[in-house]
Amino acid sequence: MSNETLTPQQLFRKQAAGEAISPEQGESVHRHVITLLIENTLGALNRVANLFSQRGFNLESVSVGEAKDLSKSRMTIVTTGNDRIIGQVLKQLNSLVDTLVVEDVTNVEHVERELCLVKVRCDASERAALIAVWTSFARTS
Amino acid sequence: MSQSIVQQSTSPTASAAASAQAAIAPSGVQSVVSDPETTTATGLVTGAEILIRSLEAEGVEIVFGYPGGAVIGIYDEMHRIQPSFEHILVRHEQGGTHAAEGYAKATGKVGTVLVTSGPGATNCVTGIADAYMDSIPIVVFTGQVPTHLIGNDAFQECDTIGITRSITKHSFLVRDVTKLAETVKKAYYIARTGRPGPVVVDLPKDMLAAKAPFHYPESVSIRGYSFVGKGDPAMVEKAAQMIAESKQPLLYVGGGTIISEGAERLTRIARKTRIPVTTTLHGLGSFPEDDSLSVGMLGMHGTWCANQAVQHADLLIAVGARFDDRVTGKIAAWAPHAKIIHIDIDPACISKNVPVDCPILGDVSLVLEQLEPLLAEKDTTDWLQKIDIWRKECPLDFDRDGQLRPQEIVRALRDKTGGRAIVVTDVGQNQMWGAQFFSYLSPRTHITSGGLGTMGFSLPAAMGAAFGLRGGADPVISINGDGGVLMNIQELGVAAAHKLPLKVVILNNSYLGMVRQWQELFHDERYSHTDLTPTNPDFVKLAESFGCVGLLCDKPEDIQATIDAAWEVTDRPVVMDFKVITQEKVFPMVPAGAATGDMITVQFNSENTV
Ligand SMILES: Cc1ncc(C[n+]2csc(CCOP(=O)(O)OP(=O)(O)O)c2C)c(N)n1
Ligand SMILES: [Mg+2]
Repeated sequence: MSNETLTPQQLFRKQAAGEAISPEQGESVHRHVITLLIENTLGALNRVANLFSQRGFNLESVSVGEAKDLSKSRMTIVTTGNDRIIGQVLKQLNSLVDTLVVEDVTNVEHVERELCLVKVRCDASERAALIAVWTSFARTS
Repeated sequence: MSQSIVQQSTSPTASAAASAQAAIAPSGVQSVVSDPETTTATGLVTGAEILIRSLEAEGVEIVFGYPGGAVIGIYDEMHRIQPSFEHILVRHEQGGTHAAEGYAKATGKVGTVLVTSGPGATNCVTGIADAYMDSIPIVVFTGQVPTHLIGNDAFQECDTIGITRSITKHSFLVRDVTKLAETVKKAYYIARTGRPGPVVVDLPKDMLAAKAPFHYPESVSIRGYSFVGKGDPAMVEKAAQMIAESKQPLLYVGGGTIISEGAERLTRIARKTRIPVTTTLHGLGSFPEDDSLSVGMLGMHGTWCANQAVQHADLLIAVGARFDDRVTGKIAAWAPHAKIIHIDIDPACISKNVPVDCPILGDVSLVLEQLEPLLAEKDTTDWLQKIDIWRKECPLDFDRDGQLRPQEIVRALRDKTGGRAIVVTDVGQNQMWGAQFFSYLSPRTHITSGGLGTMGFSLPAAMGAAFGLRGGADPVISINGDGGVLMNIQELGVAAAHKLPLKVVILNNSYLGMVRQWQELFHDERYSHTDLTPTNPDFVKLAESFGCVGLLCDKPEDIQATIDAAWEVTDRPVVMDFKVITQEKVFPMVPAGAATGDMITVQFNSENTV
């Protein structure tokens, strides 16, 4: 459907959903970081994980750990989707009985870290160069 | 996770012995029999008794159940206690869950099911999924193997919580008998409140034998659970403004309106503002269909008039509806000119399928209460005139050529009852004819499996409704196809044993009619595996063998006499086998995935495609 044939209402809905208005434009899919505070039970963890497969949401990474209050767990999820889908992810997470707090921190100041273990074969002559590369990436040692 | 498991009297050997014998004879299996004297002396009662006392305290009137090894302790305590609720022994656990759904839909109360572990629980899966899709409050108690055997592939073990996770609103595995009563309270609270839905409570056998004091809490707090009440006043005001400014508004009303008891208010608002009303399948009954403002049902098999109104409306007011694909068809082409106001209790339903201009999150009934005083009378004469043209262009009708047609039977049922009946339909063509030709006048008079589309729903759900409405004046009519009725036919015996005067109608077209219709229209008449003629039973004899009355009708002249005869029977179910023609199709129709504007009316050939 080209732009000309869309009614103003149809245009509005597409924009509101973050869908492509025209084929050239492409969908505006974004990566979102969502943090959750959930009940510290296996059931709660299962339910959150299950939601992603049940609803067909993308799940790029998950990490879970105990919160300060041991009756709760802290979960951090990275997911992708257009605005409509991310809206759904947040609402569906919120609707679980075991979730206490759901927060999209993508646009909130936050620290992101990735861990990468690499095994490199090199001899003594290359070692200095390798260390130089490594230090330029490592923020902390 | 809870750490403390109170097991006052269950030694490991005792519970192991109990589980080893669980599948054998019902007598002598209980390893821990609670003795009334020690009970009063210590103030401790078994988990089984706590469950029963909790159900009593919750005000449960009826439990649809089926015993087995894992729950035999509960059945034993029921025998001893003679609780205030009634237990109905269904003949298949699926029938039990649908009965609980029918009970809940007809009465507005929570339905209750009690089954054993393993196969008992898996047999409930369809009913739980059905309740989840249609937001029906039921609580299903499932037996489970003793806690120490969970995960061991023990006899009759299955991961009930895991299997039902994505089809429940919430679920509980009881690991601490001291928390059992509280868990029951939570289960009913969650099932009933907010957007209702099914809750599963899994009961390991050792929890039923373990003892604890019984105390049913007055109230529970669940820290992660909340639901909305009133809507945001600013949004309600915005909605009122949009309604005032609209020229061609349409109310699009769904089942949420009935669930929240908002139908009466909705009707008042529509009449005051002169805004026409279309309903979804589950919205039938929320607005009287004999009112001149009613344009009937919308969607795939909705009326021409309703779908035309959607396509031309400049404002849609969606009330407790969820923009299901059977309603919208091809979403990009749906309601192309309409701004949308959406009132719904479930945040996740808002802007899920269609982004809306004015979302109002709240309980439908409460939001309508806020909205009503802000609305002024409106002049919609021009719009109603347009609608009247569409109504006359393509009314719901059928041929009267001497052949027995299903639509005529549904019309006759309406005429017999004046619309005062509870109609429970199955799935397929019979469901659509039941929706199109009955004319629903009040809430909770139409019950069907809409979201999941479960064949075999009608008979047990009608039975559950009839249990809930016993003594009421209006008959419960179960409308079935010849395919679906066999999927839970066993419940006929239960209905007969309890003398329920169910009116069971079979629109017997000797085919899986709805599939046949698609095969005829979209698969070049290749009727692959849809002919039921070789296997269909003699439904009259079948009915009689269950202790019901069976009646056969195969010509239009006999419809009235058959129905009259059925209405004479008041002490048992009547099964009416209507041998209708095979070829009849449900029209009008928006083919799956097509635009709502492209309806097929009357017959499938290009000349008639409007
Ligand atoms: C449990 C289940 N299995 C399969 C289907 C797919 N299905 C939908 S309608 C239909 C045909 C129903 O035939 P019948 O009960 O005779 O009703 P009719 O359409 O003929 O009125 C089938 C097989 C379903 N909805 N539910
Ligand atoms: Mg059939």
